[in-house]
Amino acid sequence: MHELSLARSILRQVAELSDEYSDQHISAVELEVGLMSGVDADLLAISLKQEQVDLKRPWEFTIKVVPVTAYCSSCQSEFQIDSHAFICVRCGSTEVEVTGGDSVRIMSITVEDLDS
Amino acid sequence: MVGRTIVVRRDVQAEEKREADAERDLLGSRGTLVVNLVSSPGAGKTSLLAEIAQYWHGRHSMAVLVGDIETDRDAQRLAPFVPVTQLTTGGACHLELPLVYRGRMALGDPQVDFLFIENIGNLVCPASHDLGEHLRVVLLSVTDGDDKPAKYPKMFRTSHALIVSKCDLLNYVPFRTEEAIRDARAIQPNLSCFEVSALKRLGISDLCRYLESERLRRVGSAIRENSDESITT
Repeated sequence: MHELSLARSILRQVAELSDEYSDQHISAVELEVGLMSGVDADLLAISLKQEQVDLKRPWEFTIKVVPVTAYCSSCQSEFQIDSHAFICVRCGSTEVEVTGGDSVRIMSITVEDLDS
Repeated sequence: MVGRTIVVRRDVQAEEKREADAERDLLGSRGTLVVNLVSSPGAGKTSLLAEIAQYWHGRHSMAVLVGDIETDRDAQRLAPFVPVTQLTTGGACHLELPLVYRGRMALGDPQVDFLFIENIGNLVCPASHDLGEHLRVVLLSVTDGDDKPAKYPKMFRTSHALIVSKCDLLNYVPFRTEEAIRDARAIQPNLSCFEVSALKRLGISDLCRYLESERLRRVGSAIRENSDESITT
């Protein structure tokens, strides 16, 4: 996908989040990249570093790559999708719904006092 | 100084998805079925749209927003058959909602039965962008190769229908239709599959019947509510 524009969007959203903590600043951001998000985690990391060059208070970040997970409505089990086989590993049903691994998410932020 | 960690769990594309939902609801409430047509470059999206427009002439109204990196050649090709606006990205390899919205406004915000968005020829990036469509239809031409569903899983996973195009060339290329469909359905079991040749006008009526039934199924309540519009116009 477009890791650079995604990085800019993340910077904008982190700035929005930081507005909620007026006397503190964001020191770290934890990100999650799903294997089916269409996003390359390494390229996103490079883009995030590049986009933070001019920030007064850049933040540390970690990117965790997570597998695609799904829920089977036939046998009510949750499982991991490997090799893009969207079939329940337990009962073989194809009535499966993707529950994770198809997006990029800001999982958490760490805030610190401004004078620290 | 130890920081305080706050759980956020925010989908970075959440705003884009909300805007797409709003667009889908708005057009659906008017009885317009929005179709996002995707494929690799040269798979026959424009030729197919020209055939659909001629098939529905006098029966269903439609409009096309056609995306390309450069030129308005596709808009020129479609203009004799259907109201069309060219969306030129100037380099970007996929369409995003703001450009689609501007294109719809440039076309006079048409009240039509079907609004087709012909995406940029690319099986990668368009898969990650919701354009507010009700239906995502992926075109796979027999000259593309039957291995493409397995190679571009996200596009096929996020599609509702698969159209195998240029079927008139099947005698000349080593394309195994059954294997392509089997691979695609392993990724998306609910995929509706069609085989067409726009050049020889084969399979167009089956495809159009499917699109008509999807319109009734997905936005049909709006059609019945809008009494000034008849389903059979």
